Amino acid sequence: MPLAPQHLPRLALNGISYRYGEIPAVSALSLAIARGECVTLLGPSGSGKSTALAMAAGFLRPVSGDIRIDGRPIMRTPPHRRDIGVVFQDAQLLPHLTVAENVAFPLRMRNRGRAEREKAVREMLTLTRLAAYAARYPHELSGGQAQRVALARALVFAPRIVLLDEPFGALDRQLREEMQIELRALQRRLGVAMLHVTHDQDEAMVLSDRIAVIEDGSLRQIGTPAELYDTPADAFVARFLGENNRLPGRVESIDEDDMATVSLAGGARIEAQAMGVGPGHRCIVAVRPERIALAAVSAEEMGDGAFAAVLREVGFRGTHLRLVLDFAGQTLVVRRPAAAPMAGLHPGAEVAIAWQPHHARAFRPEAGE
Amino acid sequence: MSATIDIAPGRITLAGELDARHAGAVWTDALTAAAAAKGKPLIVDLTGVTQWDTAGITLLADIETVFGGTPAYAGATEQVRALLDRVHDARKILPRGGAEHVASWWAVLVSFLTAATDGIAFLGEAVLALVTLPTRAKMFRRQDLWRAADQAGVRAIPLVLLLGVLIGLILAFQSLVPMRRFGADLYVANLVAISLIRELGPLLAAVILAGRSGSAFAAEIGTMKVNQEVDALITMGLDPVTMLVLPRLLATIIVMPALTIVLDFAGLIGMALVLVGDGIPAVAIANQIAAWVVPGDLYGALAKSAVFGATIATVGCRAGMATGLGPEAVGVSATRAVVGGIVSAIVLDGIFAIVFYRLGI
Ligand SMILES: Nc1ncnc2c1ncn2[C@@H]1O[C@H](COP(=O)(O)OP(=O)(O)O)[C@@H](O)[C@H]1O
Ligand SMILES: [Mg+2]
Repeated sequence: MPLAPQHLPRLALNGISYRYGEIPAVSALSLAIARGECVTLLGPSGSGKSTALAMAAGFLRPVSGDIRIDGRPIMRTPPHRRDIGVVFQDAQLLPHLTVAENVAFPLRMRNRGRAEREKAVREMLTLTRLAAYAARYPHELSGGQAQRVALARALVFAPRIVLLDEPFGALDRQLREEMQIELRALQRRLGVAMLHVTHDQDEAMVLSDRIAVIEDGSLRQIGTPAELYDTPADAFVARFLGENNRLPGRVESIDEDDMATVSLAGGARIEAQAMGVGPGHRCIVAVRPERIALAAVSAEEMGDGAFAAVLREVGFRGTHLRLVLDFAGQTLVVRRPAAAPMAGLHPGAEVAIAWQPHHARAFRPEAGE
Repeated sequence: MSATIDIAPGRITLAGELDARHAGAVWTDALTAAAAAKGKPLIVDLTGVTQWDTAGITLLADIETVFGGTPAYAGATEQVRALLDRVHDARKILPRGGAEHVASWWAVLVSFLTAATDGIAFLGEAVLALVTLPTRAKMFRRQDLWRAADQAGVRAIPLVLLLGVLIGLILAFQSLVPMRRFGADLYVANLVAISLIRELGPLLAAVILAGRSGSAFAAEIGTMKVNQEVDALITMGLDPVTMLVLPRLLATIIVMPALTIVLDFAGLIGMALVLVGDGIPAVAIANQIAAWVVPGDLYGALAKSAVFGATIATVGCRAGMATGLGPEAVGVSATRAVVGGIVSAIVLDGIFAIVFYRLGI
């Protein structure tokens, strides 16, 4: 029995690939976005995010694979008939139209009646806090305002899904953070599905229900921000999302609970969750800075599984302190709340560190490592 | 005694007289063996060679070519090595390889045909957009047409005038010298007027248009493409061909005949300057031109120039639309627009020459 429409993903990318000439840009990418869900495609510059989005929007035709909206194949539908809103890095407003006319434009192209148009535009301008600028022309707007108009224009006709390609990439940091929060609130309120593309992990965390990490055109992992942060599937995701310590070593053995015993390059022997590595393999052990306990005592005093390290730097970061340590010939970063007691923690101090084995993950090294 | 060859895996043993008379006997076998050894280690044993000349050295050089590198030579004398070095040096200066030439000509032909079909398809798209324009009349912005006409036409006039006068001067001056020998000074006017009006006027105007506007169209549209402006138009349901290509295409079709007339006129002035300087009265020049140049010459040339203009605009806009990514992409498109525009104008000129001849124009 076919699925009822409301259970079908709003947008489904099924194994889509694209090549520029001979150069593959996206390889067999699959992704499904539910109704009302915001999914971010996160990856470094050049990883194929814009190409994937352009295929979803219809600017590029995949060389293989299939794209569906609400279960309906749309590969043969031109972009303006796909019922999608698109927001680019630049607002791309029509310069000879006012803000209100720009927002009304998609409705005019869809032959909506005048009354309906005016109502929808007014609502959308209020929602995006642009009501006071309705009569202005694009050249009279700031970058953030212009981008809000672009958002309003992409949302005003209640599209099935909105695609955003680095929508805040051209804005300065503070404005970007404000806009992210605003957009998230707007998306929740309207319940619209979004596929959003960025290389900025903070933006991805703020905006997304789920994040899809992409590198070299292929999907690495997809999950909620917390899943990706706490249980990265490979060394790339562990490195790309949030700060992470990376300790090179070699797997000695693996027990039946998938816990690996790893001898680190500096000589220490630690336990870590095995992530696709086997005995004898080289590996990278990743431990989050906030998962490492630290005290100005000797390793013996701290107890089993503790190691000695030397504190090198103490950096103040407002809400927390960022401590840099020398540990077995490697640099290790530890994060602790700024309010925690600091007795004995000064550069040059000998300290003890420890972490729970399940907070350390042993990955296969990335290609070229 | 003659040349002999012995082939073993990884080893070619040549012996006897490797000279022009005898080397031929082992040539084919040696090359076959060398080709088979490609990518593997190979020793060429020359210990038994008693006689050398350039044919033998050439054989070694050919072995190197099919082997794809220098094999290890056993028993090569100092002289043979010195000769081989000279052959290597000579090949550095004069890279041969006939097969590659064929391949690259083939590639050029294929890419030319691809570009041509591409261009024709794009032109078709533009014509379709033009024919169906009434349904999308609102997307066509007349300001864009006037802006393109101003850019491609009005602003080109000083350059066209200058170039026209210079060409007229040069043509008249160069033809005056031989014509005077026959006492045919006056006929320089016919010569220059006909070649200017029928050929050089449209062609030079096309070159100027390609250089000034074809590249500008490619750069403008290419920049919009890189900035995702074209994609933005498409999502809004606006047709980029109607909005970006049609105004430029129509503008060039309008301005090219005008530019051609300006260029013809300037050229005739330049020619007249030379002839008047030579002592021929201006009235005589005017009469001569009027008697020999028929209106058909001009009309044909103006039709031609409109076609050149349409082609150059199409090639330029097409190059802009096909702009890739990266900092050089827009520059690459602009270059492509200029080269493509000039080449297609000249090819079309050839076709026009045949058609006009057949039609007796
Ligand atoms: N028009 C193009 N022509 C050729 N290569 C391209 C083009 N657009 C993108 N690429 C290449 O494809 C890859 C993916 O690009 P893109 O999708 O823009 O990445 P992202 O948006 O993640 O930065 C990159 O290596 C890029 O250089
Ligand atoms: Mg991008």
